[in-house]
Amino acid sequence: MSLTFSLAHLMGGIILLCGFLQLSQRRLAAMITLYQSEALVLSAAALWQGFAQHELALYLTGLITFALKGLLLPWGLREIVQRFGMIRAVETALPMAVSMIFGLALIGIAVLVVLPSTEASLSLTREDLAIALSVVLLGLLLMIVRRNALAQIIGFLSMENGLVLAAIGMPGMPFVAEFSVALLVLLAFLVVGVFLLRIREHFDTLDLSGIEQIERRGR
Amino acid sequence: MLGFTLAFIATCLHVALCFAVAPLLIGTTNKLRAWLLGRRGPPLLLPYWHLAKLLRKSTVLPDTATDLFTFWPLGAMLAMAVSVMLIPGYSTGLLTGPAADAITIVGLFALARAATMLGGLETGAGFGGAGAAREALFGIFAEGALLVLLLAFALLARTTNIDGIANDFRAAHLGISVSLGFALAAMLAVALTEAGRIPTDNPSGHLELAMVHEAMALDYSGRLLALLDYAGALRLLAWMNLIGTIFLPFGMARAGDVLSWPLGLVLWALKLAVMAVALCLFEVSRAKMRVFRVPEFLGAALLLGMLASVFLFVAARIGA
Amino acid sequence: MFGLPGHGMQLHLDALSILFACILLPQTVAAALAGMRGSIAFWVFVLGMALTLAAGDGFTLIFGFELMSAASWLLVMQGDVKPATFYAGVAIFSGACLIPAIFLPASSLAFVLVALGAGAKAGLAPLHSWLPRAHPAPPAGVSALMSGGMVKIALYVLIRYGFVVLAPAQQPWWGTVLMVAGAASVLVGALRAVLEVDLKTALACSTVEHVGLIAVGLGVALRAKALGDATLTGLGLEAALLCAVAHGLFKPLLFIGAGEVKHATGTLSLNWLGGLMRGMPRLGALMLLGAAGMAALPLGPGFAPEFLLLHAVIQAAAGGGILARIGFSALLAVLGLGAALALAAAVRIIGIGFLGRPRSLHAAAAEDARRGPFIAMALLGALCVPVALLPGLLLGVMTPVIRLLAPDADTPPLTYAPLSLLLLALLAALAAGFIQTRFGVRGLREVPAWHGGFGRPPAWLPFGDPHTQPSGAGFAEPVARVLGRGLLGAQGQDPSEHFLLGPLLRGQRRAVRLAERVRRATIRERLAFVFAALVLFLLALGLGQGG
Repeated sequence: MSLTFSLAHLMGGIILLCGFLQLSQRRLAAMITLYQSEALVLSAAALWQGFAQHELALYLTGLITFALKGLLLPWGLREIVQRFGMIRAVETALPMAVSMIFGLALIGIAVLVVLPSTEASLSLTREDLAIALSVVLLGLLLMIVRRNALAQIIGFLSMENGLVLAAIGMPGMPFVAEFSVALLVLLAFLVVGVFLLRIREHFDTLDLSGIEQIERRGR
Repeated sequence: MLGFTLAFIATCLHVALCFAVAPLLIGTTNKLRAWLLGRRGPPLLLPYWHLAKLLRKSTVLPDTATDLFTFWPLGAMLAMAVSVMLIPGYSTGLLTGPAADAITIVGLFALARAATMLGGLETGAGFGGAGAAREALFGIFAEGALLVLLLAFALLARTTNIDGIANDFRAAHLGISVSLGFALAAMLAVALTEAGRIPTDNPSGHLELAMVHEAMALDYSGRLLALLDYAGALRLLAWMNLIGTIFLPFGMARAGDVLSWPLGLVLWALKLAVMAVALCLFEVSRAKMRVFRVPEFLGAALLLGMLASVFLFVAARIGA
Repeated sequence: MFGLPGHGMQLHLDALSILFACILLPQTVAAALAGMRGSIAFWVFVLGMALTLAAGDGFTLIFGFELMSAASWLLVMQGDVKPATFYAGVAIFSGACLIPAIFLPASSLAFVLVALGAGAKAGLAPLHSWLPRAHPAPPAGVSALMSGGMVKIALYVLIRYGFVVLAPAQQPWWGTVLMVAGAASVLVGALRAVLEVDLKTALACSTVEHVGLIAVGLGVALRAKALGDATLTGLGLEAALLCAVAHGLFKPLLFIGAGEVKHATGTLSLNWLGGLMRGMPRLGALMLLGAAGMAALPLGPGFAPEFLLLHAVIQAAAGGGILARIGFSALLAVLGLGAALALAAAVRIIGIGFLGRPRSLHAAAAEDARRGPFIAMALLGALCVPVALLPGLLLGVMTPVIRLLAPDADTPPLTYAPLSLLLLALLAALAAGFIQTRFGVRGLREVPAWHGGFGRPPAWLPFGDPHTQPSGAGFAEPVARVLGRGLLGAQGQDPSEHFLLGPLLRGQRRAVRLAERVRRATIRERLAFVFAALVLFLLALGLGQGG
């Protein structure tokens, strides 16, 4: 087993671990820290892949990931937490244990789907692809099982990390696509940040269950 | 014959060293923790003096306790002592190796836990009962997680014997594997809970409402308390040996090869020191958890253990 | 004598039935010693079980089985009527499943019917909810024999049909069914054993757990046999059979002990016991041995089967696809949770019931076990010792049984060596004793307990306020909060009662209403019924001839 592969593999594993542990956290601060470490490991993985594949674009991806997701977004998220005073634990829609078991089941499904459908491709990328798909699914699950809007954003960001992880593992992924995805995420973050401020102004909370009730009443 | 003699000497050395070093390990962690908190800390050898002092003090028996009161600390200490003898430390291939099945060791940990819990329930005091009830709760999830973890090791090494796992992991260049990473994270969570360290229990906390291990020892004194304290020291050493043997098996000596012993001993001491530093760093940077968060913590460990065996399957399928 | 016309009654003994007869014998003697000697129903019950074991044909087997059910129903009725009625319903259900199964050719349908019939009788989830009600109701000797013996007879039928009679049609999924049912029993049984306040009910729930363990072992073996894995078949069978032997010793011991506790204190509620070790030291020591077996602690009688079972599951997880891997690791997690829950249950029985301060005057004034039950318990306890210390030897004796069930099974040697563990513990104890005599001071001084700084209780509470020590319910509260309410529902009721008996009850109510309407029908409506039936028959006849 080459060093290239095993290091890339390990980083993928750590990213998945961070994604999984986000499900088990109640506090936003811990979730943001986990997201940050996920992004930092992701940038390291991109740089390592760039070094291994001699690809300038991957270096750039790594640097952008590092600056944007490793530093800027966590800082912004922490700022929001500070401003809204959301130090306490946030509401969960499902019991912790159930959501973690769902997470495990999703990872199982990802493995089940990826292994047979990539029979033809390089064996080295197959497990990474399974990990990336798992991270994407876990991010989606996180968005479903948390009531708080900010936690849902973290789930969204974590899901996007999974996409990037899949992209850097594949040789020949065009850089433009990644760059545009990164910009998109930043824009989405800004929009949502403004949106959050508006929600907060109107409802005095970021717990979305109130909005759900209004929606139901409207129907 | 020579091989047997060497293995016998190595086993005796292992047992003697483990029993001698266990209190020193507690002393080291206490000292390190104090340093990290900016204090001077107690002397390194304080645990030995503490044990000697307890042995010389008279032992009192609460009037509400039954005749078995003196039996539980001894039972807890003996179970831990046997598991320490079984788990390899500086060397593999000890005479106790064939009996060192991982499931036997889980059973011995359970035996020690049962004896401590019964000791806590003995006087019918509120603190002891509450501590025992919490220990039962933690034990449920810790044992489940530990068994699932063992599956990952057993699948890699094709044996459940700790000695065999150490031999296999040392010989095979496993590289850095995702599943072992998951297993390590889960194992650390279980080890911290079972050894009564910070996120789940505070080893230096006396008389708090949320204490677990201390609560069960409140009514013990004199030589019985010495037994319980020594069992606690052995428990920390047993877990460190277990983690060291499985995750850091490099440089372990072979019992049949005398020349490999010095390096094995030095590396063993080094590994224990590194683990003590890591433990203290973790402990000073964390707060204690609420009692009812601990099952979630261990539940996450259990699921991580399952993930480890799932990814082992993936790795085996793609031939990596 | 009896028997099908033209066949007569055939008796046949082989290694399997001899093994189960050996399991049955000590507990029958113990139950007789514990005060059941004079009861005719008891001896009919024993005769039914023996007949089931000795049966050489299906009819004799069913005859013995139903004799056992009927006699035990009478015995349960002596204790309490309500559980007896429930029990009779389950017994009829199990008979209704078993009778057609016995006369069917070897097929999957026959196995499903046997699994339903024998499983319901053995208390396998989801058909277990009668067991914690019916087993504690009769006198202690009968409870002991029902929990230790009758359940084993049901499992014997399952083994006999699953491994021998239906072997030509065996499928791997039969084993999976048994494993799933067994895992559910382990979890529910062990959890309820921690939560139940009544001593005998807690013991009965623990029986559900052990039946689950045996079923998991049988399931692993059945699946491996169908897939042709010789070592795994041997391991699973060893685990299941050894578990049956060990459970047949320590569970009757615990039940007879519970009966003595009831005799001495008048109650079985853990919330009113406490401190019994002072008044009943001999009984307490024997109960401790039984509890060590129930908790599967090393050096106790229950550890070797648990050890083999975990090994079998770990080995099974190594083969098969991704679903098998996930399933077996989940099974391992369930077994781990179950083992630790059983430990908590055993610690609770000993720690709350026998240690601490008495919680009632009756518990404070308890006197030690009577002569007969004590001899019975001592006999069972003495038999536990070889099972605990020489499991390897016992497995060697069982080899013919395993050969009978799976001719090509492989039995690897046991790697758990209790004697060497005992030797190591002795060495450590000697070292500790040496250090104590060399450096320590001797002697014990009895002083008033500290009790966390609480004041002394008033004079009219001779053993302190019972409410200042944790009760049986209090000890179980953390577990109830974390696991109980999630798995058992808010009131702690059994899920099988909720999902199985509830719909059954509603269906019965609906059927009664329908019958009532038919009864009240007018003449015209009744004529219409008859006419419609006639037309239907004619239509069927015409269609049958035309098509």
